[in-house]
Amino acid sequence: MKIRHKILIPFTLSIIAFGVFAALFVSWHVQDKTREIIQENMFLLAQEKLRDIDRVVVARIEQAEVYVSDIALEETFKESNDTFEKMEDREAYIEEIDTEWRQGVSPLTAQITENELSEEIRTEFQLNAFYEKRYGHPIFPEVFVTNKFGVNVAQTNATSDYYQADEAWWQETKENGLYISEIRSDESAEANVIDIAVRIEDEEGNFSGVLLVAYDIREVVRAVETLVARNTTGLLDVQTVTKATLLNAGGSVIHSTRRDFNLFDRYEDNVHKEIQGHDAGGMYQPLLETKTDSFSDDLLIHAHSKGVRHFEGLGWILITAYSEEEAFSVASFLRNIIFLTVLIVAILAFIVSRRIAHSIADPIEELTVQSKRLAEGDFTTQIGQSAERGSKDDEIKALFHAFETMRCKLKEMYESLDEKVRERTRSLAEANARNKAMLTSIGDGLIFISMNRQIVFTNGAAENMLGVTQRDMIGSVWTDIVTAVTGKGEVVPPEDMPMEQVLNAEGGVVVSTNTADDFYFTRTDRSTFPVIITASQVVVEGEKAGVIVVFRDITKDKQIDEAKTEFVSLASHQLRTPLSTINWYIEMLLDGDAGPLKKEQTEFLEQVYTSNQRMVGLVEALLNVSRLELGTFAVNPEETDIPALFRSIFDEVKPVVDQKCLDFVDDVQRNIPNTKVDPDLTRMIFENLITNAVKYTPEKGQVRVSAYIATAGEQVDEKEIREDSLVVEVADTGYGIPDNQKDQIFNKLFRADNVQQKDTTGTGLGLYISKLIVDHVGGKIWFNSQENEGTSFFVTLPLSGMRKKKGSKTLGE
Amino acid sequence: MAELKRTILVVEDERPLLEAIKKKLEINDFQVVTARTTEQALSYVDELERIDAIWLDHYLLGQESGLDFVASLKKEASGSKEIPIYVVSNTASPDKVQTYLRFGVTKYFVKAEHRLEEIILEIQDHIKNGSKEE
Repeated sequence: MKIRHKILIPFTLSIIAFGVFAALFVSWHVQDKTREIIQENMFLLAQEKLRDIDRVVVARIEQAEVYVSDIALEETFKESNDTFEKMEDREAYIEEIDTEWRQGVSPLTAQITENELSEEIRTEFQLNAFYEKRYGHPIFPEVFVTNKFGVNVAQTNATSDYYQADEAWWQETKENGLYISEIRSDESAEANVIDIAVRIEDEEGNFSGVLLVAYDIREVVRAVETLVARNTTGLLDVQTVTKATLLNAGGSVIHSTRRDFNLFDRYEDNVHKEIQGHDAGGMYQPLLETKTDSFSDDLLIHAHSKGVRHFEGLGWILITAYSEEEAFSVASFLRNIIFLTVLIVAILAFIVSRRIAHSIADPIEELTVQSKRLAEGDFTTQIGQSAERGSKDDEIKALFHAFETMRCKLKEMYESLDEKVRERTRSLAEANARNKAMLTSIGDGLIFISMNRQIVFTNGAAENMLGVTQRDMIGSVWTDIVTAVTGKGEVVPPEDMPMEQVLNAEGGVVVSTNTADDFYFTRTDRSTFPVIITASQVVVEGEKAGVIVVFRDITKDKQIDEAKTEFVSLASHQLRTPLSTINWYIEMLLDGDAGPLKKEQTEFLEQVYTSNQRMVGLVEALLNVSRLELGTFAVNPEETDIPALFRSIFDEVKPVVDQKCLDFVDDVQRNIPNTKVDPDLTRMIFENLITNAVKYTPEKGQVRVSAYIATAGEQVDEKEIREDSLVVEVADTGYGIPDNQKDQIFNKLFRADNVQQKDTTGTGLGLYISKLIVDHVGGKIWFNSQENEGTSFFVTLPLSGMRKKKGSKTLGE
Repeated sequence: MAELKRTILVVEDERPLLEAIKKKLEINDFQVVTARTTEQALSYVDELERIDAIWLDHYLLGQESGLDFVASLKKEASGSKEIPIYVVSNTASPDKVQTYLRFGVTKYFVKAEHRLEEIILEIQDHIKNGSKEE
């Protein structure tokens, strides 16, 4: 949730909640209290009212009671009693009169109504004028008196019957002295009355008659009505009592302000019994009205009369209703006041908290926006105005200042970084351009192969040579692009290629092929071209990263080689042919095929022949040297009988050995096994050494040739042999090699001074050739020599055999 | 000598050599026929009734070499296939030697390595022995 809401909502809500709670609490409390007060008041009121009613009724009763004593003394009354006392057939007489009376035809009716007593009574009770004036209606609409026998003696109006003694009320009056009837409706009086009957006694206290007054209860009704009139209970000017209902002890309605209750109606559900069950009236509530009028629920207070003085009371019940709504208007008013206050406060709170929220959230938002801009690289925008709004020293302001500082710094940094990056990029671009230029301009094809055998980059020359675009090459496995074949068209397995050898090896190795090797690359059009390949391992941070392969189309070179070789071949042929011619002609001359020769002729011819032979030897040697230098001679190892090879060389030099009486020692071990060597080349090596030894040792000297197998680790002439080898030593006691020329002895066409002087013939090529061959086949050659004492030549040839080498020609052609 | 002289066909392009060889062969009792090209040589083979041996150089005049001659000769259905051929050349390339031998030449000599006499004697020996076997 946003901060501004976080501030706003809880604050406002809590105020509202508090307010609502307070309002409700207060109003409930007030309501409660008010209810209590009202109920108390209402009860008192009801009680008071009932007492009033009682008092009024009692007063009227007393009025009758007081008058009774007067009646007892009255003449008419006394006469009546006497008369009837002495009467015979009283019953018959009464019955007769009664019957007539009922029919309305008795003259007595009028008589009694107008007699003296009746006049008195009228005066006493009716007081019509007075009552009319005061109350608007007569209080006692009807009064009559009976004697002790129950017959009417006096009456204010014509009563309905003459004889009363059979009535219950007459008897009760006679018994109890007072009788109060229930309310009844009197037709003749045209009013609702209650009958009050009082016992009349004579001086001795004997029963002498009954007085009955009909009491118009309009007074009572009035009393009930005034209850509902406007009532100030002290708190507010409020009509608290909305309805009042008066019930008699039997539960019938005497009067109610409610329209739906009429005289004599039963008040609901015998509630009167319940009420009467309570002690002295209660504030028991609420009596839920089942008969409601249009108003809302009223609460009811009831009271029933306790009685006044000796009079136990009518037993009437007063039920007053009051409208809670009205009663609680105070509480409602308060509640509403509170609500209103709360509302106002809430609004205020809302406004205030909103301001606060804004003052915090707005700057934060502003900062957020600015930060985003910064993140996008926009360093130029200034901090907004919302910063200025706050007070000078608040935290927001400080934050903004700090932010501004940061922005400036970032801007600086970014700009300088930008500059630096641009610099770097420039120099990188330059370097790149240079590299690219170099790569494109070099004539050799270049491929960089990664450890997973994929071509990572390549150059234009490779593209041209292979006929595959750089784009096609990059990403492909190299064997898909480059197929190597031999000169004969046989496919070279990839593991034999320098790339694979380098990729699989360790230690920054470099493998290169040369023109003698037989690698041809295939173009996309199936044509092939010979190549030399150099593969160099690339090591990055100590780890193999791949191999850089540089290859060159050596078609020209091979052609040149081919040409050179062919040339040499041809030259050899061209040189040898005249030499052969000379040879054979001289041979024929010497054989006498052209006729006999003189001695001197023979001698001369022999000289020529010898020289020619020398020339042949020289040509041979030169041709061999040419081939050796070309590096294009073949090595064809085959199982060779080494001792036999030496023996054949020994046979060759035997004539010279014999001639010079040399001590020739054959120290060739017979147990040398057949070794895989190229016999021709091997022969050439040792032939040279042995012929040299023989040639450069004076008469009677010694030449010793040793040959044996040495195992790895053995020492030969203080040198340790690294692998099993054939070791040959050719030692002589000849002229030796001068110290200052030892380093030149293997040079081409070199002949040391001492032997030059000795008039020996030599091409100066023998040792050169021997060394070339030994080096070529992977062996070692060295010597020890002391001038005029002798020389020892050592040769080691590895027993692993000469490495077979393909060449274009064999030496000696 | 009851037997006829052996006839030998010498195929060699170098004239002086040819002369020398011819002379030496005649001294050794051979009848010599010389040719300098393969065509010449082949025609001689066709014409002559009997040739006992052929002395063949590798390098010859014209386009074709001794090898071509041998190839052509060996193709023929007639008995000329059987004539022993001795290649006497100055080239000693093993490939060439092998090829010649594979074609069925009797022997290969490197000129510079042998005396003329030597070669001739060997040829003679060979023919004699060969005829004995026949």
